[in-house]
Amino acid sequence: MIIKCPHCGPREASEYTYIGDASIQRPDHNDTDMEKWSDYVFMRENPRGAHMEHWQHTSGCRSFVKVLRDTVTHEISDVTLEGPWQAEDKS
Amino acid sequence: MSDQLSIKEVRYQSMVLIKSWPDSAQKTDAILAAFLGIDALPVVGDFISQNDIYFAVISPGHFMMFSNNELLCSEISKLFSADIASVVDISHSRCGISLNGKNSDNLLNKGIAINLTDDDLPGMSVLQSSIHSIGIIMFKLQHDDYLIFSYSSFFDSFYAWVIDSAEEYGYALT
Amino acid sequence: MSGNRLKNKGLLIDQNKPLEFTFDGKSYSGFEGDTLASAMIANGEMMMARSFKYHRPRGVYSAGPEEPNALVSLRSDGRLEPNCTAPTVELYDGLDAHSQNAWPSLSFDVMAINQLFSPLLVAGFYYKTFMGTGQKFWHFCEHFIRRAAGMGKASLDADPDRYEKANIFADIVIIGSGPAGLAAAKAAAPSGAKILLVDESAQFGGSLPEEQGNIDGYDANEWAADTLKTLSEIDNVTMMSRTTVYGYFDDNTLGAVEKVADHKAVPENFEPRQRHLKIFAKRVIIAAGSIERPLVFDGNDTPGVMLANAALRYANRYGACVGQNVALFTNNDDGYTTAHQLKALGVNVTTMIDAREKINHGLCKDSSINYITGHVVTSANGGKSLSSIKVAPYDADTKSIGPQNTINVDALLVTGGYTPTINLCSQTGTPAIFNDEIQSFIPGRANRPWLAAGAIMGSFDLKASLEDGISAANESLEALGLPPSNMTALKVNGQNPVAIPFALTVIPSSNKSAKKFVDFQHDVSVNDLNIAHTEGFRSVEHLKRYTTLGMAADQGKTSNMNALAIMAELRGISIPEAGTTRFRAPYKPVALGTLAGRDIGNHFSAVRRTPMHNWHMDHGAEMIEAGIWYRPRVYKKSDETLTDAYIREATAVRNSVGIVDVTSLGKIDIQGPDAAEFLNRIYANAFLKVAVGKARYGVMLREDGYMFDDGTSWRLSETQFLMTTTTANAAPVLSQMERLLTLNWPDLKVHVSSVSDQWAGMAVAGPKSRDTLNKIITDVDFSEDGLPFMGVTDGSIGDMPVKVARLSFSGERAYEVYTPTHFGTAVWKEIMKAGEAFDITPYGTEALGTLRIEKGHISGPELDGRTSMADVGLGKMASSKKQYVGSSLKERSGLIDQSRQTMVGLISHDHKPLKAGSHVLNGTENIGHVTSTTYSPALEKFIALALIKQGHTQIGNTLSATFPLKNERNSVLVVEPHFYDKEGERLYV
Repeated sequence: MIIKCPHCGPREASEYTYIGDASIQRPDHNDTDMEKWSDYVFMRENPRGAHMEHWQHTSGCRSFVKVLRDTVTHEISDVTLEGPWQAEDKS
Repeated sequence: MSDQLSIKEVRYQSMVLIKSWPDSAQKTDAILAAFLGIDALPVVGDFISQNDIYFAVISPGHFMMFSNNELLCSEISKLFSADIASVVDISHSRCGISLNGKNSDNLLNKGIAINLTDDDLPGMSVLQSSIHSIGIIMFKLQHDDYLIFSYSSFFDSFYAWVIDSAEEYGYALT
Repeated sequence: MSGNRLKNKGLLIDQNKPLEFTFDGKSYSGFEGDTLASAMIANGEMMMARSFKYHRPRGVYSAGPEEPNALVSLRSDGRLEPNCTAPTVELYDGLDAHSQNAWPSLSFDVMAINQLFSPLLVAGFYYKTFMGTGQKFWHFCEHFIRRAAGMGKASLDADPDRYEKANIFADIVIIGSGPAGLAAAKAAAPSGAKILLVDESAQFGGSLPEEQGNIDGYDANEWAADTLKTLSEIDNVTMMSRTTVYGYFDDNTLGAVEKVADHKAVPENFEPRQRHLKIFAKRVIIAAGSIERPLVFDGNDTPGVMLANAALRYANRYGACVGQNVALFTNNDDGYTTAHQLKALGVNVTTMIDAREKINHGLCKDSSINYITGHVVTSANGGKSLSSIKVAPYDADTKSIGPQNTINVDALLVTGGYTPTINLCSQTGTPAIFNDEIQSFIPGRANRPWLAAGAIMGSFDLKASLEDGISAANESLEALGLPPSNMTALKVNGQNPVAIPFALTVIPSSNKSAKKFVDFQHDVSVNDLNIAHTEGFRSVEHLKRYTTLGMAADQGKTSNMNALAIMAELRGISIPEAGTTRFRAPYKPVALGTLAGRDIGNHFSAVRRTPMHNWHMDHGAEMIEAGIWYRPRVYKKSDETLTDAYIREATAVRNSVGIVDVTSLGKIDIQGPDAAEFLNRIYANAFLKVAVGKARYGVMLREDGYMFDDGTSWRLSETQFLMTTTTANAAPVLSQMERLLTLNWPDLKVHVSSVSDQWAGMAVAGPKSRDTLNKIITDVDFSEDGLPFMGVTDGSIGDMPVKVARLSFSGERAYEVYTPTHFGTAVWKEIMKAGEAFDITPYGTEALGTLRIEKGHISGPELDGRTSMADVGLGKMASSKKQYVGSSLKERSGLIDQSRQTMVGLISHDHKPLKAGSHVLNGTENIGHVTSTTYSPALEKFIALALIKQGHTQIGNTLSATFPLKNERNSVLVVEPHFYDKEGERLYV
C-alpha cells in the first residue's frame, strides 16, 4: 500500500504508523465528561468501504496525514496534510 | 560520476534543526535567508550548499543546517527568540557517509523503495526514509552522489549494511 | 543412449560443449543449453520420480514450471534445494540431482506398497480414519505417515549463498516475452518510457520457437531474435530473464524473484544466488500466456505420457526425442500441427487419436501417420514406462466407449487445449470470465492499471496475440500521457491453427480399479473428486481442501481447470457457475532465503550501540538486548557467575560509588513559549512551576487512564526542557506528543525533537559519587545549596561540556552526567579515573535493577500497560487541580475498583530465589503475579515486587509464589514495596 505524503511523495505504508480513526473528534482538553472520553478512546465504527484515518509519516517527515482508504480494496483515494501548516505546492 | 563505487565516513562539526510556527514562518525565513546571503529559501525537499554550509528544507517551517564550523549552532541560536523558532543542536546526533560512484542508486534501492532517478529526484534534493529499520536523512547532490546520515547509535549497523550491500559491486573506502 | 537425441537438432543446445551430471548417483552426459529434463529424456530416462501419496512411478510431463511430476532435489548440504522442477533446471557441469520420496531407490520404492491401501487413502483420509480414535493412536500413526508422504527434504545446514533484494521502478512492466509481450515491448520502447520486460524462462520469446507462421516476412523465431536484439540496444528498456513475477500486490506493486545464479554450480564472488524484486509499476501488461491442458484417462500418469507441446519443445529446443513409437491424443486442431512438426524434426509419430468425430480432413497431411478420429485413449499401460495404450471409439452424446484396441507405443502425447495463465490478473481480485470457445477462464475486468494481452486472453492466434500486444502498449502509453506507437499491424502468414477444444472432461473406462489422475502432484484422482461430491464437498473451495487438489507446489497449473469441469459435470451445472478458487501469491514457490535477503545473522536487525559500547566490551561486559539497544548486563570478573557479579556491583554502589551507562533512555528536546503548559497537559503531576535549573519526576498516562511512561524532565530555561523517557517508550512517547500538538493542540507553540542520540548519559551513584565528580567537574558547586536534590546545571570536564542532574534511581546520592555523544567515552574514562580512589565500579542492568527494586521504584515490568498510578502507590502524585491526558478515564470504575491488584514487596523465605512472572497464591486462590525479582545485598535475602489483589490488606501475611513451568513453589512474606532506606536519607549522604 502506498501513501502519497504531501512533503515526501509516494511512500510505502511501512514508512508510516497508523494513528487512528479520523472521523472522531478528541474532546476538549478540559472536558471531564467520561462518556465523551470513553467514546473517543473505545468506540469505533468498523465500516466496510471508505474509512477516514490518520497516519503519521514516522520514517519520513513525521507529518500527520488524513487518508481516505477503502478497507476492502485498500485503495487510497485522498491524502491531506493535517495540522497548522499548509503543504507546499510541489509543482 | 566515477565508475568506482566509493564510501567514506563523514561527520560535520555542527548540525542543527530550526523549527518555526506558521505565524513566525515569514520572519524565520527572512532571518535564515539573510544569514545565508540568499534572496529566498529553497522549496520543501531541496537543499543548497552555500559557503560550506548545507541548508535543507525538510518540510514547511522545518530546516536542517550543517557545516564544519563548530560555532554554527551557537550563531544560529542567537538569531531566534523562543517565540519565533526553536533551535535544536543535533551535532552529535547523526553520523554519516558520502556514497558516490556507479551503482550508488542500486545500492540504495536495496533498502529504500524510492525512485532515485533524476526525473523523480533531481540533484540537490533531501529526503528522509529508513533503511533496514534505521532512520536516515539523505542528500542527493547529483546522480550517484549522496550524503547519508543515520542517528549515531545506529551508525555501526547502518555502515555494516552499506558495506554488505556494496560487496557485489566492489567498492573503495576513501 | 544416443538413440534419444535427434541428430543436429536443438536450437538451444551446443553439441560442442558436453556436460557431465549425476542423477541418483549415476553419471549422465548432456550439452550446454540442456535442462535436466531434456538431458534425461535424451538419455532415455523417462522415469524420474515417485508420486506424493501412492509412490507411483512418474516421468517428465511438461517442459516448464507447471511440471507436476519430475520434482528433484539439487545440490547438497547447506545448498540443498528440494522440489526443483526438472524442466526448469538449467544443466551445468557437475550438477548433482536426486529423486525424492522414494526408498531405497527410485526404481524399487518400498513405499509403493501404499498403492495396495489406495482405497483407504482417498480424499478425507485423515479425517475419516482417525475420527474418534484418540490422540495416542493418531500420534503413533502420524510418525509413519509423515515418513511415507512428502516431497523433498529441506537441509538443516546454514545456506552459504547470498540473497539480495532490490526495489525497481518502471513505467510499463511487461510480464512474458512471447509474441504479445515482445510486440508490446517493441511498440512501447520508442516512446522513451521506462520499460521492464520480464520472463520466467532463461530465454525470451515464449512460444515463438515452435510457431510456424512468419511475421513481416521473417520466420517467427527470426522475428523474435531480431526484436530482442533491437530491444537490448534501447536504453529505456530493461530485460530480465529467469525472473518470475509471483505476486500482484496493492498499488501496482509486483513481487518477483530473479534467479541470478541458480544455473551455475556456485555463485561467483558476492553474486547473489537469487534476488527478490519489489517492482513499482505505473502500468502492467500481463502477457503470461497459457499452459497446455491434460486429458483424463486411466493410467494417464504413466512415465512416457506427456503434454504434446512439451514433447515438441524437447525436440525443437533440445533435440531430445521422447520415444521411438509415439502416439498423440488430441481434442483440438493444434494437436495436428504438433504431430507434424515432431515428424519434421525426426520424431516417429505413428498414430493420432482425435476424440472428435468430425474434423477438417485437410489436417491429416502426413500419409505415414495413422489418424483415428472419433476415438479416445482409454488407458495408458506400462507401470514404470509406457508400453501400450488402449483406444476405443467414443460417442460424445452418450459419453460412452465402444470396444477397445491395444496399440503399442512408448510415448503418448496429450493435448486437451490450453488454459490461460490468469493467476496474476486474478490476484488483483477481479473475478475471472469463462470463455466458452476455449473452455477455460480468461482474466476478468481490470480493476487496477493492468492489461492482459495474447494467449492469456484466449487469443491463441499468432496474429491476434501480436495485435493484442501492440494495442496494450498503446493503451498503456496513452494512460501515461505519451503518444501511441506508430508500429503498424504486423503481417502474419501461415500461422498454426487455433486450439479450440472439444469438451472432454473424463474419459470413461471399463477398469474400475485403475486411476485417472487429475492433480498429479498431490495424487488426486477422479475417484477423489467423486467422493468429495458424494460427501457434500461440492463448492470449489471445499473440493480443493477436501481433496487437496491444486494445493501442491504447482498450485494446480495442470489440474485446476479439469477439476472444475469435472465438478461442474457432477453437479450438473456449467463451469462458470462452479467458479474458481481464489488465486493467491506466490504464483511459484519462493524460497524463504530470498525473502530474508541479507537480513540474517549479524544483519538480522539493526542494533543501537551507546558511545561507550567498545569500552564496555573491552572491560568484560556481558551485553543484553534492551529493545534494539545493547546494554551491559554485568561486568563479570574472572570466575564470577551472573549473580555474583550483580551483587558485587550493587553492593559497591551502596557502599562507595558505581557508574552505569544510561544512554539508551529516550531524550526529547521540548522548546517553545508553551513548553511548560504542554508538559502540564501531558504529565499527571504539576509541571507549570518547575523552576529553571530543576528536574522533576513525571508520570504520563495513556488516553485510557493507564500508566504510559515515567521519566524526568529538566527545565533548562523558561522555554526549554529536556525530557527523559524509558528506553522502550522513547518512540511512542515522541509520537504521542507530536500527535497531540499537531492534531489536537495546534495553538500551542511547542516543538518536540528526539535528541536521544545527541547525548551520552551515565549515572554516577553512591555515597562517594559527589567526591568523584567534584574532582573533575571543577566549575560546578556540588554543595547542598549549589546543586540540591533534583537540581540541574552545566559544567565541563576539561573542555568537554557536561550537564549534571542530581537524580537518583538507586536511592543513593547520585548524579546523571550527560555529555554530547562523541565525548561519551572520554568523559566516562575521566570519571573512572577520578573514582579509582573510591574503587569505582561500573555496573550493568542487573545491578541497576537490584538497586531500584530495593527502593520500590517502578520500571518496565510494573509499567506493563495494565497498571494505574494508584496500583503502584503513586496515586497521590496525580494532580487533582488540572486536566491532563488520561485524567478523566483514570477515574472510571474499573480503574478505581478497590479489589484491583496493587504493588507490594515480597521476601522469599528459605533463601530461595523468586522468578518474575510467578503467580501469587493465597491458599488456592490466584491473586496476582511477581513483576521484578532480585537478591537484595542490603537485606541479604531474595526479594521481589508483585501486584496482588488488595495488596495493602496482605502486608504481613505469608503467601505462595509459584512457577508451574518449573514446578517451583516458594513461601513469601508480603511487605511494603520499599525494602531499604524508606525515608530516603541515603540521597543526602
